[in-house]
Amino acid sequence: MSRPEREIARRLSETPVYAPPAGLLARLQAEIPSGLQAAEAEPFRGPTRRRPARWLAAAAVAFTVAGAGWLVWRVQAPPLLPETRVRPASAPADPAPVGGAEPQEPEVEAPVSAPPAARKPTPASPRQEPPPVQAEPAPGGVVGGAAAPPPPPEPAPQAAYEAAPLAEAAELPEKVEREAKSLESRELRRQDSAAAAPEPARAKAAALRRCPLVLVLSLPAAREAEAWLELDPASVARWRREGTEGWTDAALSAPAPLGDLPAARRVELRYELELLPDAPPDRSPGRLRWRYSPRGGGAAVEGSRALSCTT
Amino acid sequence: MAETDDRQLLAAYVAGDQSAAELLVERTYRNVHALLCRLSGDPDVAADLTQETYRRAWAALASFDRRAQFSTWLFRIAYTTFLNHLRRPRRFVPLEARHEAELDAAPSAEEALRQAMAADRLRRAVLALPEDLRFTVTAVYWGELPTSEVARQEGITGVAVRKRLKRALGRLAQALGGEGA
Repeated sequence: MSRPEREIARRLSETPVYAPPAGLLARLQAEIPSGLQAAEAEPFRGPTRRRPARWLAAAAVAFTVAGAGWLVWRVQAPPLLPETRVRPASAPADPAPVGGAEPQEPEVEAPVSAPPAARKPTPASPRQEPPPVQAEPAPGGVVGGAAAPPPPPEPAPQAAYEAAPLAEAAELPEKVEREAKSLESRELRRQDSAAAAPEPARAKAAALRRCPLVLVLSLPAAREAEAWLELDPASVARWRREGTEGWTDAALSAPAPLGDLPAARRVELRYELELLPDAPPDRSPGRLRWRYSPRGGGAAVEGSRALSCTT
Repeated sequence: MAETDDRQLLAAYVAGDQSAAELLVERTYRNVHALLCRLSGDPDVAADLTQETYRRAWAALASFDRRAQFSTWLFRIAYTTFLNHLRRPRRFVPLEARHEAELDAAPSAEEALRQAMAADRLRRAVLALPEDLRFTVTAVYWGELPTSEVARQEGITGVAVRKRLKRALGRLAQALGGEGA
């Protein structure tokens, strides 16, 4: 009880003196009917029993029967709507098929300007498992980081991403610009498909965190250079390659060899990852690894760098 | 004990003892008058209504089945009598005029006037409550009936009576604004 209510109760309980006017008692007593008016009353009755409401009992029984029937029907009947399945977030963990994996979801979206070579199925490299995030500038100028593109504003729920390996980008230097232009239209289409996606898929997709990734490799003159991404399946749900620039070797294959590189060759990779909702934010989604032999001779050099989202 | 006495007096009156009824009136009429004073806010009106209450009580004594206490039964009659009085067309005496007279009469008239107006606002707020809440509040606070008696009268449980009281107090506090605090 609140304070105002207590105060009201106190005021209600106050017993001011209301003295009856003089003569009131006499008037009241004078008006008492004489005799046995009350005695002629009907005999006193005992307490009446309260009968239980029959309609209430009947309604309870009817509800119980109807509810049980509905439950049995609901359990036995097939679901009203086909269940929409969301592809499990296993893309990074699986070896990525080179040239673009066939999407398993209804809303499959093929890369707009992917080179024909990239569409050919190529054996995936065991090293090229899941693609990661952003590489920071390597010490000594071996690996450099680049500015990240702004992240897409909204998640793409069910859009299937092409699992393209690093090796498929032989012709990309000329097509990077085209890809960049196509990204915008692709994003629009993803948003449309996201809007049309069923509720569970949208909810799941909305829970994923976007992680744009820009990798810049700046290697010295090298022979048999290779680079690849290792994604952490515990952090990355899906990934896709958005574009590459600076690949000179047209024979890039699944293991993502860079081939022989002239001096100060700069290679840029753009990826986009979707991190699992429960992935710890401070955990790197993967590593960028590279290996090359110096052109002047000597032992092979290997390096790696933890990836971090550009944003 | 008092209840037993009331029943005995009633039985004696039914048996023909007129003095038993006089004693019964003498024992109960102050409470009835005080209740009607609180309800009506006017001692003169309360006196008239008290007389009417007892008239109706004697007339309806045959229907009193003694499941309730006599005082409870009498309270119900007084309450109904007051409600009927409210519904009757009557000449209105502005409350302020009476208060002005009191202001001139007493040295601490200003304080008395303030208290009288506060009591009148409380009375009006109680009368503005829905019927179930109004009856419960007046029965418990002004009729000084036990909760169990009110529950029996209304055909509800004691918990329901307390819930009604809580709701009524909340509404009164809301209606009176900061006055209650």
